[in-house]
Amino acid sequence: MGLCLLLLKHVSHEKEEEAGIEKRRHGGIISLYEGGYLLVESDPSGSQPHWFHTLQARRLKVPRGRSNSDPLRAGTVQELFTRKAGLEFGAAHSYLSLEKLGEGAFASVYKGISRINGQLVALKVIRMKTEEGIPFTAIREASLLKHLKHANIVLLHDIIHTSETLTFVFEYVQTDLAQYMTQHPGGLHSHNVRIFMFQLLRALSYIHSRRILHRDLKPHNLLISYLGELKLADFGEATKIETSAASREMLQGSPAFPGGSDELEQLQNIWTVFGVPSESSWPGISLLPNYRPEWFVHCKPKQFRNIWKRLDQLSNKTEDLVQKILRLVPTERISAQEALLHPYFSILPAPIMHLRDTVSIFKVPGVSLETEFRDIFNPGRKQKSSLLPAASCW
Amino acid sequence: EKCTSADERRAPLRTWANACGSIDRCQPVEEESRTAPVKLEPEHRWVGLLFSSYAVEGCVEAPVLLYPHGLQGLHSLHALVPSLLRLEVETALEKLGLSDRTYAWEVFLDMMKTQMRNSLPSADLSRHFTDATRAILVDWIIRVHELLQFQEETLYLAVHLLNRSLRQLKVTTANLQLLGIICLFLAAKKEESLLPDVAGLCSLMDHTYTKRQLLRMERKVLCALNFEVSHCPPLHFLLLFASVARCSATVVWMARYLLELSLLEGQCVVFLPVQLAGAALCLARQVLQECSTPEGEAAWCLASSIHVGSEPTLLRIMHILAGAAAKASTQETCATFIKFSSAETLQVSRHPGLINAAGLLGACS
Repeated sequence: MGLCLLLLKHVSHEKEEEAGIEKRRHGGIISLYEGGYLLVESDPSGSQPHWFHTLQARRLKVPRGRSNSDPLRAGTVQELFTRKAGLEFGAAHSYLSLEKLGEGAFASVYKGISRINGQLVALKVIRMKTEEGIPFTAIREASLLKHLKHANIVLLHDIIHTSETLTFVFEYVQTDLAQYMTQHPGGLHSHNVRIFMFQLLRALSYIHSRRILHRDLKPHNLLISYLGELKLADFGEATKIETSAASREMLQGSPAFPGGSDELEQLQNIWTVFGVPSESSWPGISLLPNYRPEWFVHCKPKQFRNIWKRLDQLSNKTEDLVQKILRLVPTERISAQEALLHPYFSILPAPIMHLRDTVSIFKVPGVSLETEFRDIFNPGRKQKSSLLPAASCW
Repeated sequence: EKCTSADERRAPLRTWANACGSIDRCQPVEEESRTAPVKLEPEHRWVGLLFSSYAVEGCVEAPVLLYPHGLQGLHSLHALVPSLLRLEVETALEKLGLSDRTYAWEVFLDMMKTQMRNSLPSADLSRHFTDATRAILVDWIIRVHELLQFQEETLYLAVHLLNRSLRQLKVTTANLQLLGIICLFLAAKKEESLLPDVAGLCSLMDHTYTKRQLLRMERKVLCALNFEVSHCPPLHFLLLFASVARCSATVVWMARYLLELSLLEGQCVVFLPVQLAGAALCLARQVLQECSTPEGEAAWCLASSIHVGSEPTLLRIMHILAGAAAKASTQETCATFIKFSSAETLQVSRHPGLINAAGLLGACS
């Protein structure tokens, strides 16, 4: 799906694109899941030298704070962990790696814990390519993320640099949208989709007004905390241009444009919905490099609700927003900032529109996730069958 | 003129052992007040012109526009800039492809804010190297940049990184070229979609350095720069101003030439991108002396009201650039001169007006 997004961009933006596909690689993906468990220390005397051996899993009962890496609230944790001499930011021994969470083309991601303040962290260990030096993805990600402070963008705590490795220390977030959708098959609760979508648009609006485009939006790169906070991650491809397919996918329960084996197949999938673009539907397209309409089976544009069945069951506002976001011609596409004001979101409490950048939407009273219909980790739970969509749709 | 043949331009930089010229530092920065402020535009005449040439309903507040250079910080900028200017800036940014319409104003404010990041407080980059040495290195970077067909932004970023690294790192003369190529390499990794390979860079330098040395220097530089490789290039401000001011293609090319010359000048490292861009455009207009239309004058005045920088500062930069342009063709560091003498750049660097550009400024003040 990520590739399909990229291809949408490919046809829409001349300059950087050609190279974009060749260069595109999956940077380290921070994909974690913890099923409601948190690591906490059972022995509160933080001054013991090997306190981390006493870590054990137990069900979280304390009220949660805003940050995922700070689930017990800073105050509580600060008491447990007194700052030790010799532990400082930027030093490798200030962090302890706990378990491996994922593996990407350029990096491995570990769950870790900060020995400075006891916070859980995600350690993205970047392999230094011996041939070409520090990966360009790492350079872009670090230099961009350093200046982004937003509740819906993953926080870069620290950068550790040794002679062999480069490690980015991120706040720890429990899961990502891809795993969340796997855990809740058959489509997500429409209320939750709205909340995720709002947060995604908030993040996009923030970075777009700073001239940063993520360019690799996909469920894997949207981290989700157990509270429902969505955080945009993996800025390795970031520079210019993007579209979003994630919202449709969340409703549908399956990728809108399933990743095919090659780029042309992906493009054909996209054109099957939109129709192969021509001068009449997209003035100027024939001037783009690599414009080859003859490579594709001719198709006419289709109604979205005929393709993505679930749109039919939802309000008109939903389809209207989807239609405004999924415009082939980039200039016709609604911006993230405009989309936030769309009636689709008017059902959310009003203060949500006026938050400071760093404040989570879950700080607004009345904002919370609904329970999903299905949960493969809790299959025995009683469900309201009337709310379940007809199986034949999928 | 020297080194005009294409072959010579592609040749690797000559050895660094004899590249260190004599100390050639110009006046200290504090000297600003000596030069009298120059009137950059006729101030009262154009408010009327604006109203006649733009039919935007009463959104210009005349008193506000009369203080174009008194802008202190961003907040005051936000409050003072009239909506007509805002409209123009938004249109220009959209036209240049620097932003969507929706975000244009925020993007502009962000550009103004981020340009302050990592600015260098004084012109003393490194005690070990003279401005002449730095100019030779920058000139070589400009040649390599052209050879590799990178975008303009990459060049400005590379020199920005170089200035900061020269301040942060201790580099021997023998490793100066290595530092230069690494800054260009890092800038390319940030901006470009097609990257040169390290082996190619080594051969570009006649294998003076090994791949290992290159990679070690890359890490060293990146750490010294604290992984901050973002920069708002002065070129974006220049294109923005030129678009708002409706400048002709010749003026824009001339300004781009002058702006690129500023990279070679050690004294220019202290100035903000917005100041360099403004001064380059101002000087370009004065050199070319194109006949003005009322619309053109009005647009220019509107654009002038964005300048964030005192008149003495702008005039000082213009003097430096005028001096650089006057001697550009006779210098050893003539890559920029050659680049802008081509037909597609309208041969701006060979414009006769540049020979006496400094005199022109003198006459003004």
